[in-house]
Amino acid sequence: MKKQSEKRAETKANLRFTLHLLKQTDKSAFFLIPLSALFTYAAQVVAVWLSAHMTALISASAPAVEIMQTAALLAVSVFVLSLICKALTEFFYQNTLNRVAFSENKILSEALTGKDYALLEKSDFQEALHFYQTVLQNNGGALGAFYVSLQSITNGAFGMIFALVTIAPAVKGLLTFDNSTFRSSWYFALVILAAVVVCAVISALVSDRNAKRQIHLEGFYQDSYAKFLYWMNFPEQYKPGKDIRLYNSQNMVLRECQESLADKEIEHQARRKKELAPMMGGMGALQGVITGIVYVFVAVRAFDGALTAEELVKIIGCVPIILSSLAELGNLPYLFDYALARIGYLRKVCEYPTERHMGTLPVEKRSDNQYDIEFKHVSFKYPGTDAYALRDVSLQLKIGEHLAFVGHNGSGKSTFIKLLCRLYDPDEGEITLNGIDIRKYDMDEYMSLFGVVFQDFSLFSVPLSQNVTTSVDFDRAKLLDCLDKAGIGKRVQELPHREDTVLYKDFDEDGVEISGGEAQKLAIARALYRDAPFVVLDEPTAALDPISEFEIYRRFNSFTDGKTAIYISHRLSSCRFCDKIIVFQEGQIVQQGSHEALLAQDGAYSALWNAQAKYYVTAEQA
Amino acid sequence: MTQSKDTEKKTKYKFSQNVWYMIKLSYTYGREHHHHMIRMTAGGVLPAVIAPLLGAYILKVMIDCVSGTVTWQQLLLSLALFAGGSIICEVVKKVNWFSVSGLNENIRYSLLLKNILATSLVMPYADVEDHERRKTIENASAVIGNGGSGLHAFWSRLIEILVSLTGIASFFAILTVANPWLILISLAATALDFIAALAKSRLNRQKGRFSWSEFKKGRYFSCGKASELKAAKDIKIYNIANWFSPLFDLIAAEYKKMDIDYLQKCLLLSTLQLLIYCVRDLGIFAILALLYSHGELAAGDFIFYYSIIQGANAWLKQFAEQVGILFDDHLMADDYRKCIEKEENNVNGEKLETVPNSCAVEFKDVSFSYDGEHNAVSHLNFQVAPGKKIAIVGENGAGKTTAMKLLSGLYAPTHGRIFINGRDAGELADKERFKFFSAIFQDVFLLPAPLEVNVTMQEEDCTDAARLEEALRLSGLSERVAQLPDGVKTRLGKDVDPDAVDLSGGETQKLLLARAIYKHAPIIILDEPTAALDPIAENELYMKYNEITQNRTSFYISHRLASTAFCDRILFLENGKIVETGTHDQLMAQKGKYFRMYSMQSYYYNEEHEGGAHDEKAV
Repeated sequence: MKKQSEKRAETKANLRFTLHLLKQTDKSAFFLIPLSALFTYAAQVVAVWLSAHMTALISASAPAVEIMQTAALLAVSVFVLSLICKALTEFFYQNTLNRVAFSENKILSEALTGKDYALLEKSDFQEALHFYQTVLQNNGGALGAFYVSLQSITNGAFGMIFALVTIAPAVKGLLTFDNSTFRSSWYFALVILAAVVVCAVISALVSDRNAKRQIHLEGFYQDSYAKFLYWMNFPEQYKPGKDIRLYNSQNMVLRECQESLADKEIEHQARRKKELAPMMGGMGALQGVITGIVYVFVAVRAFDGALTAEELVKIIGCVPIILSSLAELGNLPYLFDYALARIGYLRKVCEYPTERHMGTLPVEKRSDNQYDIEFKHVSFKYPGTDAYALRDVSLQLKIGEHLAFVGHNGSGKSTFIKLLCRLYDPDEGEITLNGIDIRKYDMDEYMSLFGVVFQDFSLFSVPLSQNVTTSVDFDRAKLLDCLDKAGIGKRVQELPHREDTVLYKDFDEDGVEISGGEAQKLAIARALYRDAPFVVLDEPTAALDPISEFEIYRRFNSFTDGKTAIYISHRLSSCRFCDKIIVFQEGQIVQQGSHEALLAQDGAYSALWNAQAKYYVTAEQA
Repeated sequence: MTQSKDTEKKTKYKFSQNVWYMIKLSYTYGREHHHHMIRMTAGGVLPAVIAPLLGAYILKVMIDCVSGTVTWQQLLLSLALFAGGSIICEVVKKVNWFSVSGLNENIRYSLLLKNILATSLVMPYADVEDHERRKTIENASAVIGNGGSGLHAFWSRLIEILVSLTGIASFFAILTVANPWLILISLAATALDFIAALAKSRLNRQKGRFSWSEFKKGRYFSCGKASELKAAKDIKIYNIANWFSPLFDLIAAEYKKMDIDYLQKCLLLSTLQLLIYCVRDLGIFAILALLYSHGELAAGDFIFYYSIIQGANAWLKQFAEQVGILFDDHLMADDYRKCIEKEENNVNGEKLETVPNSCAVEFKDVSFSYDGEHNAVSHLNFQVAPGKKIAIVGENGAGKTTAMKLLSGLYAPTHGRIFINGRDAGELADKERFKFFSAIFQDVFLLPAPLEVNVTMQEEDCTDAARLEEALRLSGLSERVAQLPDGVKTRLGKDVDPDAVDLSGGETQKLLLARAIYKHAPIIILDEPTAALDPIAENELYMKYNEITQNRTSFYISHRLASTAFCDRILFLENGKIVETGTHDQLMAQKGKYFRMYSMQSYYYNEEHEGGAHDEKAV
């Protein structure tokens, strides 16, 4: 249970963040909402007013032509007012809402892409993000919910004002009592008023409770929604198809879906029904009671002759408007809580605090690539784990040197790269660039020193050219050159739109599905395009055939010429064209030196090398 | 525009057929989940119709009060009736809503689970990969994708239609007393309104299509790809924030253009509808004025009829809209039926009594083409004796994987035949054919389910514990499993279940190997099983290869040519053809393509090699 003060602080933060969001998105909703409310109720009230006037004319036995004139005025004015209202709501407001939804997406994208990498791995950050993704994105976003509550309050207020103004002249008759009986005395009016107020208060309380329940239940829903999305998309996936057929797993898959999704969902529905239905029913009953009380009062007054036909028509026309306005206003705490809770999740994602130094020092721009990086007794554990991924690692990356990293799966090679690129900070020791702790440098500038092909690199469903250059405007000649260097230039020229072909078919029917080997070459091209002083290749040839691999090996020295390069591979042949080999074992550097020197030692390297090389070194070869 | 017209022409069933189908389907599933369909329907219809009638009734009573024709007792009775009725209606309406939404969800999961998913699981694999065919599944999935507007919510729409029909009937019954012309004008206006409503529902379908694809795009760059942990490293290092931001503006601009176009058309239709209502109201007023001039209408009657007509028109408008939506339902039902009613391929083929322990395999002139023009494999001919170990090598795209997909029966050859133990494999039912193979392909598929289920690929309670342990041992995964919090029961798939565990690339590869071992089928196909393994783990697999295959026929695809050492024969593929075949020694002696490839890979392993400086001279 959260403390009251904490809750208040959170509400305050959410409100502040809402303002921040509103500043960044289209603001036209703020005048569109009141304007459309104005015209909606104007149309309704004009209809009530003119039909009441017609009733008066008929009562006074006015000529038919005069009545027809009023009727024509009614029809035409309703047409004009409704048209304006439609244009405002269906056209301008809807378009604004759609754009707001896009802006919200963009804000999230910027927040996520700009986030410190280590944060993304935190479980409570992931949880907030997960919630936002699953529940909110599919229900109009966070700001969408905010605008719904804003619309509700505006409609309620406008409806109330218009209706009250319309019936104001009749109120005199309604509230003029001759006190002859109880029902024609002030007491009666007071009893009616008290009954309405009591019902309204109870209704508001129930509504508030209902809101809390609903928000609580959405939390329960969060878990199953991710599963729902997974299973919804499952039939469209073709990759699982092979295994499911070959292993005759149809029943297993259906059962997993049933157990992890359908059963839970049915339980969820049952809970919703059990917890929310009585409250909703209660609110319905209260609404019925309020309607009944108001009609009783009006009917009794009409019976006592306190109202003319015209007044009665106006009152009867306006009572529904007043009641629905009351309901909208009564719903407000709920809507507001609900919208703020939603915005709160987006806030958590966007404003999640980082504990790391983002740094401020600019990185000196050097054309001679004189960047000297050194690891000094660096130790590191992944967040939330106890085991050291790296332990007391010291290494100097000499300018222009080409290093090969080898070792078992999980021996710390890739972790070293992540620390080098500053995706994480060391827990102990420090890493320096030209003698200064890298944490002091501006993070983005520091990262721009690296061209990296990660083992699990990602390409995106956009044109190939943008994938390689990571930009919407790029240097085409340089791009083509890099594609050639990565050994995929010819293949790209054969694609339907050459380098502007979209990758994958997610959004474009003309998109191409590329093979793992081709993707790997594109990732290499991306690292080359960057033309950074450090080149890191983590398993860049795992999916390539021996011939393509050989091509990459052959070119490695030419495209890393004058740069510091690190090459990680399980294919140890790569060690042969590197200046120095670094052997990792259980998070430590256990050996370093040239291939020949290390092979001469009876150590980890010679074990690794021999395990593989024995298949290739044959008498015939020599 | 033209695109949508095309898709709407090609429905498989007629409107009435699909509507009747959906009524039956919803009713059946509703009963299955113990819903009181009749009670629920009545609970939806009655309050919605009775409440406005009560409103009209009390209005008439009140106007009569003004003219002094009502007694105090009559008024009290009417008020009691009105208030009691209103309260009951409101309560029933609100509570019934939960029953209906529960029904919708039940039907949604029945459709998803029993039909769409089940269909996708048994249809021929070639169809699964086929873009067009996948589209039908995508369409079928879309019908249950949206909260309130999918096929699963059909029954709630049915209730709404019944509400408007009952409402119209009751109001018209009252109006007939006044003047039949009033009804005629209302109906004529509704007919016109109806056309506009249909045009609007078509517009909405188009809008649904483009906004969904733009929505998916927007999502992809925000909480899709951008939030994936896997992509995050690239996103940081390459400062992709600076790239996505303008990309987003482009998508938003594209969307805005389409959106404005759609909204303009919508507004035009709305204007037309409002104009229809305006003319209709003028006509109605004219008749009422005429009645008045003939002295047939008192003030109370005038306002009473006016409110009844307004009510009837509201129902009519609602009805027109709902029929438009019903037409959407018809199209959705058609998409859905197109998907699920396609027959399962080759279910009636031969059945096998037992699967033998070891199998001979023969390819006779086998060709296959994905696109009908260019052959991915062409005229493959080879024989494999039972228990032989075959290595398949060649460049990327040479047709190695395709050949194995043909062998396992995932694709049917475009030309030629494949024999297993001398019988034509094409004559076997798919299910029987698949029993012959333990295969792992390069696409990794892990289900968000317990680890053991991912290995056995069967329901959790069918696990053979000893066999599972053996498979984990041989694949080298035992140690890792022992470290997991719940051992073999640990759930995988962190993206779906926050409490689950994700395996590393190397571990995943070992798990796939365990899967193939566990199945223990007579023919083993391993496609690049060591790409993510370190040299020691790779070597261990090579050493254990005989233990894993246990005299079964095996096919091993790898770019690591070391694997050929423990195989009996090598098939070298190029451009879909076998260009060389023989043992390692034979092929090396030939000094052909295999020799060249092997030399390239062993080049850097060769002790005589002096390091990077002389690379250019190689081969």
